[in-house]
Amino acid sequence: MYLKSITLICKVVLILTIFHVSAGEEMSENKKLYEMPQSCDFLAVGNNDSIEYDCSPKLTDRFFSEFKGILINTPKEIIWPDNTSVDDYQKYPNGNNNSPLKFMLSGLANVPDSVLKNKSDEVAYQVVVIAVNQKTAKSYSGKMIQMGDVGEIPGMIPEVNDEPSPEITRKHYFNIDLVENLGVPIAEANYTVYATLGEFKSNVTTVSTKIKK
Amino acid sequence: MKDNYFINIQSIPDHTSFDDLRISGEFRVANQEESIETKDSGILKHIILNVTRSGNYQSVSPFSDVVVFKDDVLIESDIVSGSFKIKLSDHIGFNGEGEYFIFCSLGTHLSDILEIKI
Repeated sequence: MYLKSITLICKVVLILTIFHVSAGEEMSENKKLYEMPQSCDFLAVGNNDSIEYDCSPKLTDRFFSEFKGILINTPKEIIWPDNTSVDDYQKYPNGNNNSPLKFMLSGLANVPDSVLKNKSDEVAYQVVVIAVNQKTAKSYSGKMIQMGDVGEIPGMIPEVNDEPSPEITRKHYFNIDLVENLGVPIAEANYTVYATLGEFKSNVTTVSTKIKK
Repeated sequence: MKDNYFINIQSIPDHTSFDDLRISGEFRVANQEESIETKDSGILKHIILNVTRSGNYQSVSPFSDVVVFKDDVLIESDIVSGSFKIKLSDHIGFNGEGEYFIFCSLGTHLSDILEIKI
């Protein structure tokens, strides 16, 4: 009787262990490699900035992510004010302005160095963003605009210009205003948005633009 | 069912220069796709061709000014399918040697990217 009880307990433990392991494996297969912040302020994102913002896609593992490719994050809906124009607001030399008439996209390219053939190019500035009007099928495309190169800074150690490696993957943030850089008009419409760089294409988002009346 | 919706493209071999470069494609989408505000044969006009090469890029609607007939697409129940061919030099403003990356979109569906060296 005692021996039977022990055998039964062992069997239960074994079954539970197997179940736990398989559940864990399944969890790791389905684990999310990234997150797309939605409760963030897209108007706070700077156009042509290659830095991380609250709205930038977030890799779950910031340092050793398995994700390789491009991610874009956009608001689902944009409501622009009526009776105003971008010209009514101050414009900065970096392509930014403080108007509410923006269509901001925050993106992340986690791609190998070898994605660019021209080593002097910066990855973030080579990502092409495409927006397609869902009614007219008119497409708008563009990139971040790179400001003038500041040149060599005295005392700065020059970067070693090794051959770009397909093994080394780096994170590059890009932030782009589709009104300013792509020429998306201030009008009510629905858009399909995606981005590409070399052999990589991003996720697809849909954005509805409205005018507050 | 949504997994069965797609747009695929492939290059037509025997090109020696960009001027000869052609792609063929096929698609299958719902006739009332949320991301395509039209239906039936009008869906063809929503195919977007995207081409990049080094610093060059272009995104165009190759069928926007083309007359599309009803029988250019196959409508079965709530699904629209069809095939198409595109000669790239008719739509893309840059050419020459280099590595081209080409893909198409239809609504929220993106094709795979073709890499073609010229």
